[in-house]
Amino acid sequence: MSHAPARIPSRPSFRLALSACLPFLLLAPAPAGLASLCAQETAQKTSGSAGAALGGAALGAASGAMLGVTASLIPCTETLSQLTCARATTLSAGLIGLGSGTLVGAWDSGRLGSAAKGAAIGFGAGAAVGFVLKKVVRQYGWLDVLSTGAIGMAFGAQPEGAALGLGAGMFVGSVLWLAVPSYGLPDLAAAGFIGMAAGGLAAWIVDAVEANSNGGSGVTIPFSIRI
Amino acid sequence: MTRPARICAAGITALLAAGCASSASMRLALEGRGCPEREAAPADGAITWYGPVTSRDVKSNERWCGTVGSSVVDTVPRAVLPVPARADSLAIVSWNILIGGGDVHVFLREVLGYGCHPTSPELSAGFSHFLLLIQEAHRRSEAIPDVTESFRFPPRIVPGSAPEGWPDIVELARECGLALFYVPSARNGPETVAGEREDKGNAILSTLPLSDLVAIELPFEAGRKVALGATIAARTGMQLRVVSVHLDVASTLYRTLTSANTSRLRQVVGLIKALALIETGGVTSGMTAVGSGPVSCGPLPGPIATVVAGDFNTWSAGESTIDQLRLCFPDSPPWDGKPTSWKFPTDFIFFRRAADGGVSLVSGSERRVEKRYGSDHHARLAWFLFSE
Repeated sequence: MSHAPARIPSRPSFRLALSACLPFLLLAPAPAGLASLCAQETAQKTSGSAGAALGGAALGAASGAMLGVTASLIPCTETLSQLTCARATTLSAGLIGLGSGTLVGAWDSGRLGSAAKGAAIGFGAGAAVGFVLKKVVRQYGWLDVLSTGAIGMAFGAQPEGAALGLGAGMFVGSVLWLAVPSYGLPDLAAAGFIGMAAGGLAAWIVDAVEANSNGGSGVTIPFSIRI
Repeated sequence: MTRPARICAAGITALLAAGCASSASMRLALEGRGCPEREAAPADGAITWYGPVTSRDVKSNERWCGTVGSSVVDTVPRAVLPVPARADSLAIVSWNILIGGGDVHVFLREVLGYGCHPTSPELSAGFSHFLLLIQEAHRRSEAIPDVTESFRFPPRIVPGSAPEGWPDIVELARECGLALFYVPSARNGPETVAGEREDKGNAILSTLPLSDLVAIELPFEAGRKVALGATIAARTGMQLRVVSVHLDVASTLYRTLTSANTSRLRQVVGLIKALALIETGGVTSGMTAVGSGPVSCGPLPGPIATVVAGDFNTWSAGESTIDQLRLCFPDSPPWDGKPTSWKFPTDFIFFRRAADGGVSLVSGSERRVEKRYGSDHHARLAWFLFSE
């Protein structure tokens, strides 16, 4: 029999990813997504900036929370306080979305309309993916279709920011994957999700800033969207 | 409140309630819950069942249980080992054999020096008694129920290059004269092939007699998983409990999102709670929140040395599932940095000593077996010593 000496490899990558994820956050993603859809209907029925602010708050919170929960899934499995970590990430990201969305709705209903339209398209695209997965993955059901729709909604509300973040995260993750032996495929995926969440949330913040200075500052910020 | 608003409110409430649930509680299983596997008592050994308490887990496990055949127990090996050169030591192997794709005959010969024979196997000089903790064993039988109800069976897995004859776990045990404890978890596809159906699950093969058989249904995630436990005794009277485990790869996306991806951690907490019940003689554990910090392991060290090994389907060696097991099995060997299934470190051997010592892990002996012998997993092997 062989008695090869055992060694404990260092695993700095996931600790790094975990630290990076903490600023974001989550709580209950699917409820937030549903709340968003409900609130959007409410917003459409409400006249004036207060209604738009309410709709923006709901959409921002749902989008932020979904981005947060997605970003937390892999890094938070590296701690025994996994649920606490994921909830904190979701909650933080949801609050960022809530604040930004409220301001966007209050100051620029047109911008909010664009985000809502993107969210609706994203939900449809995500749900379509979920429907295909339901046919392929044995244990998937309609709640999973709703879940993929919710992730699509979060992405679609800020597509440019989320896509840029996802790309940047995947790029950084790929470089680390090639360069650092202890950096594994889950780390690479985590980097992509964290990037997506960071990009999406940054885009919400930028939208809020732009909405405030709409027509005044003339500052062009690359994450803004115009549909 | 308008109708759409009521629907929205109800939906949000339901989803919030679902999103808050991530807990595990276990109990000594009750009799007569409609699971044919448990009602058909094996001829030569009694199995004590443990399972989750939560209604969703119980219902899902029951549905799956009704699709598989009964357990197989041969507690005494038929083979008489010629000269067990080191009867005071024991090799323990954990291996996912990919529905019989792994060539157990060749593995036994090359890794453990054991030439299979129903009654008179050959044991090479310098080798010892051994236990194989198997995952993804399969069994063919016409007695496996032909379920006609609508049930989304897992698809049938047929290994790409099965050994000659593609023996199932019962045939393997008998060809090699080994003691066997096999409990199916799920069907291997809905098909009936040549009048027989297949189920799959964990198994324990041993050159030593098995006793105190336990089956632990884990909290249900994507599919039913049953961990198996058995006890072996050395000539000195020292005992060792071994447990063969296989966790889910992933749950549904909805559960992953709403439980913060705690599927495997919840299954491991269920296992730990069941082992604590076994050691303390308890009947029901309290509800344990999963993912809010370390879970209590019960008395450490326990009354009996225990090895828990298997395919944990983990993506990294730092996953909470592994961290929790290391807390409860503090005498485990450190991970050697080698993945066992593609790029992933899925397979581990954990160990904790008994309060009175007795059994110890040979330092530095735990290793990955470099050849896969036809499986998609490398086996892991460790040596244990019984003190005089």
